[in-house]
Amino acid sequence: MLYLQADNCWRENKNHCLLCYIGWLVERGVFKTVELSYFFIGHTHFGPDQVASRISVCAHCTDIFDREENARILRHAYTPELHFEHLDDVANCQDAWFPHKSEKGQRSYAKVRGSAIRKINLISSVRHFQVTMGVDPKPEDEAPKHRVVYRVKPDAPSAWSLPAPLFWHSPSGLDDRKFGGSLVKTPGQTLKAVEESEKGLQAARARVPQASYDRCMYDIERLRNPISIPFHWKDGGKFKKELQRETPPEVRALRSLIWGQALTALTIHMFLSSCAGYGGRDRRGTGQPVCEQTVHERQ
Amino acid sequence: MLCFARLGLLDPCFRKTNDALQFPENFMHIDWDGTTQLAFGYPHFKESTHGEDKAKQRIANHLNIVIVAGWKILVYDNLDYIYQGPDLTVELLQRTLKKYEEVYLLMCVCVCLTPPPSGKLFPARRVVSSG
Repeated sequence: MLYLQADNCWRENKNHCLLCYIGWLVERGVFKTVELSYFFIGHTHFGPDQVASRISVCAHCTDIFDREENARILRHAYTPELHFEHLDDVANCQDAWFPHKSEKGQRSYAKVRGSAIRKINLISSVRHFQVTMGVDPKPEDEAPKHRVVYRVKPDAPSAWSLPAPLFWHSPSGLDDRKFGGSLVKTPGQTLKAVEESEKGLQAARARVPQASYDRCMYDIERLRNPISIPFHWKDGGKFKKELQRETPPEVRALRSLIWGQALTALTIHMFLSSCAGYGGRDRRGTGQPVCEQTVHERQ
Repeated sequence: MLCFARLGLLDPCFRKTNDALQFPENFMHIDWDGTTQLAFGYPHFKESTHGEDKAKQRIANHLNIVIVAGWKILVYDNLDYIYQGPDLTVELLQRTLKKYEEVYLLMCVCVCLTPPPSGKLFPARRVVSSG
């Protein structure tokens, strides 16, 4: 079971795209149930806020010249150590899951428009979602009734609503090509940011080491010419557990045989080495096992 | 904390975290948030000079903090050319689950190899004093 906790922000967290991804995980059998909860307005600070606070304190009293230094210095801002990773590319899931987009940029969740997920009404008024496999009480067609369903509740003490189907059609059957290139802003959208960044960097030129300056210029070049790459999730985003399930039974049997033999050999090796260290090997040349020597010496 | 959770006295959010800490094989808890901590992006200086206070935005750097209960804290940083939207959240989750999967599989193998706790098969070695 997976619990997810996020801010109540519709743009990034509380939207159909994230629910579609979660439903996709449940449908593929990665998790049996996923619970997605959002904080109410004016919530107290939670874990990530605490980490952000420590990062802020650490950054306040340190010079940070480039992105690599950023990761190197700020990783020690919190205990336990933070693990930094740079995001270069973001998969374009929305185009695959809700391909239709109006002129104003609004997505359509209608079945006829090719949307994978159904529209969830009053999404802004609920704070808890539970996505699981269940029985659809009102099937509309002859499709199997056991499918991904979701339940909602407005706050923690309330009871879950009745289950409702999440998908029009499964997103699992989608071709990787439908995902399109990774999502980056167009050069026109980043133009202002590039101009500001260049001016800011030039103003601080004298205080920055040459190597860091070169790295910053490289980043500005990335801002000026963002590159969109094809869908980059390895194996279409599938996990190893799923890939194991998909392999033919003969191959799986062969693999398990090899693994079984390797494990048996390793266990025997550990057992023998343990015995040798404990009482099997006569290290003193007395003809007695070491454990008996110990008993004898104690007497 | 565990006894509070059993009595139902714990806040639901902490109860879920507690479940993930106590029973990692059954539960997983992830919370995440985004932040931008460097005021003007980087290069960032601890001392600002005269003239810099005219707020020249340098290279903006966004941080996304992901905490997996009982495992580790991941921080994903990205530049300004990536949209801050649902795709970014999905990407974060996908990457985090992929990383966790590697550890989980490794953990499963280690569990298989762990000797039984009883002292019969692998007894602790006795230290023999030379004197």
